[in-house]
Amino acid sequence: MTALPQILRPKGLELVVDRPVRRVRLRGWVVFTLTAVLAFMSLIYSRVLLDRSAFALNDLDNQINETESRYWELRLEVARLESPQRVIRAAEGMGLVLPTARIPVEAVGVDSGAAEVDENWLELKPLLSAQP
Amino acid sequence: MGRPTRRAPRARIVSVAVLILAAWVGTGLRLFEVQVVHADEYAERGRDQRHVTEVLAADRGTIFDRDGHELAVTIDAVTVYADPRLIAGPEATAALIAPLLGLDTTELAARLASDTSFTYLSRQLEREDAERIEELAIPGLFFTPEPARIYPSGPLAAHILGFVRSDDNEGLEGVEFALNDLLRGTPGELVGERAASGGVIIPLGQYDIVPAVRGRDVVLTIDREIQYEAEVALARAVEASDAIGGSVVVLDPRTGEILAMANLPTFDPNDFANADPEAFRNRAIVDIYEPGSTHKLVTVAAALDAGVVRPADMFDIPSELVIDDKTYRDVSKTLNESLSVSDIVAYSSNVGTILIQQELGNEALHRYMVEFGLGSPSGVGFPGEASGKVYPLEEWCPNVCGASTAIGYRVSATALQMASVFGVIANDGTWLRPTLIKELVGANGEITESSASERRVISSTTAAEMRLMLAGVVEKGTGTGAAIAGYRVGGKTGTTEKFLEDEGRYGDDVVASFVGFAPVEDPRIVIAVTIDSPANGEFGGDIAAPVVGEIALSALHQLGVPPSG
Repeated sequence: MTALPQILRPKGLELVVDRPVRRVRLRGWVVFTLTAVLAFMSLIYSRVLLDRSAFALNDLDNQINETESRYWELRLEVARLESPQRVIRAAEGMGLVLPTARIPVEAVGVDSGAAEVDENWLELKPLLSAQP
Repeated sequence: MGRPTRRAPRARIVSVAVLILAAWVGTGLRLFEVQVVHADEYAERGRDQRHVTEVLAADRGTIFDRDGHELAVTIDAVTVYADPRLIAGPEATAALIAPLLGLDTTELAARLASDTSFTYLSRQLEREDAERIEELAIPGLFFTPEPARIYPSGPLAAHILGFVRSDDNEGLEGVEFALNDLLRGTPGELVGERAASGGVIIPLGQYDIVPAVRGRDVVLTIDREIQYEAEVALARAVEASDAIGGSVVVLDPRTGEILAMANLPTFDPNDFANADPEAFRNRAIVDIYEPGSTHKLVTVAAALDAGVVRPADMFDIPSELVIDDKTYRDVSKTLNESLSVSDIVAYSSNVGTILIQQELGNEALHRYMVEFGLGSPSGVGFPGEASGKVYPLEEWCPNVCGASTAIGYRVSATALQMASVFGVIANDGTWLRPTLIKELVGANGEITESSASERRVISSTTAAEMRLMLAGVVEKGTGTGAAIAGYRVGGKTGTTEKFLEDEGRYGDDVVASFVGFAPVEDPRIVIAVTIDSPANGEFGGDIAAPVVGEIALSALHQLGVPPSG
């Protein structure tokens, strides 16, 4: 041990050399704890977000079902309104009568009259296929 | 003194320790038993307690007519039921909701006052109507969703469509029954975790879903407007003749597609429970009758095709023809003269047709009858289709059997079969299997078209000759009632006494029929009409032929066939 100069050694006082101590690395623990808490909170938050999305999807699903039900109800209503019995009744109610004679009128320059059923059907096929 | 006092606590400690140890061992064993030995069983019980499995009903496919008009639709309806014990004032409640349910107030009040915990008030009510009741917030009333099958056009095409059982929407009649497996789809399944309320926890719990697959849509060959015209015309004729029923079949001879099929009596499939089950019968397919003179077409066509006669060949027609012990006469007494084959058809001469058959022979007639599709189901695929009757050749007696068969006795057929027979003439000699199903449309839009089946029966020359002869029936013969303005119609009348199976003899009632086609130059429709047991009038030419004319005019307009003169 290097002797200290006498002048620096006051009387009655003794020089004590620090013994090595274990210093707690607080910053690491704080960071770890914060990270763990954040991760946990994030996990919870993400789960909440996920659940919210699931609820939103469920709501959308219900809306789709509701809309689909409405769609079919409206199609039913249209079919009822278009049914020949109802049309005839309505026409009779308005005072319309069936013609006693049918006179064909030739439209010069136009192809053979009304559209064929088969042609209509080609247009209907994609519509039918697009049904829910 | 000291030793015993030290021993006692030690013994107690040991005892307690042993007890604790035993408790631990017991607990351990129990845990082992629960968690190892019976682990699967308890896990299963746990799953059963918290899991719920719901069957997801598949939407039943829609039935369309050929132009895409809905004929049968499934909608989400609501069933209303009540717990009468929770209903505070049955009379007041009944007065409030009976008009909305369409029920009798007194009867409903009695049901609501009954000593039960459950009573249906209305099954499969439309949502809008159910919501009106729900808004009243009456305690003791409950609402549950339930799909309902609706037929928007009411009784239109009822015999074709059939109906479904209201409990489970399973088809019971008609196309609903015949194509039930395709229409009903595949039910799905939802496995989820049960909430305290009993419902499924969404989305936190387990949620496994196998979606239901919607049933296939069925596109019929029926044309809604032609169907309506056929039903109206038939109803008018049945009422005017005071008949007990009747049938109409309208075919497209070029494809075999059935454009309309009507029967009387009829019913409303929306309310089939209150209909007479007798009315469910699709007479056009299920009922057989002796075709009578309409069958003469087969005899004459066979003779022409076999080359044994020509249209202009002349026959001396006696006033009566006696074969063995049976005497055949013509209805019209003015036919005691020479007639050509064409005139024999036009005037529906029994004697003349028998003379032609004698030239043809039994074996050839039998062969042609089978080729024309008589005696076997048409293959339309409708439940309960009758095959009709053509006796095996071995059972034909040498003389009378051939003669009777030639004029349409000793043979039976359905209206659909007779329409198909005339379809051969209209389709240049080729028989086409009649069909009711045009297409099947899957849930993803994939389309399955029905396949055609055909066979040549007679030559196109013979068919053309027959068309002209049958036009003569309408222009100058027994079927003038079928004539219409703008189009040339061909066809054949028929009037046969009804055979009483139980008594083994012919009765007084008749079946009046007419089978025709139009336009003669290029037939687009074949129409068969039968009127069962008319009280006013009896001849097919008087009762059934005008129905054919009426339907033909509407159908040709509907199909966009320009008038030919």
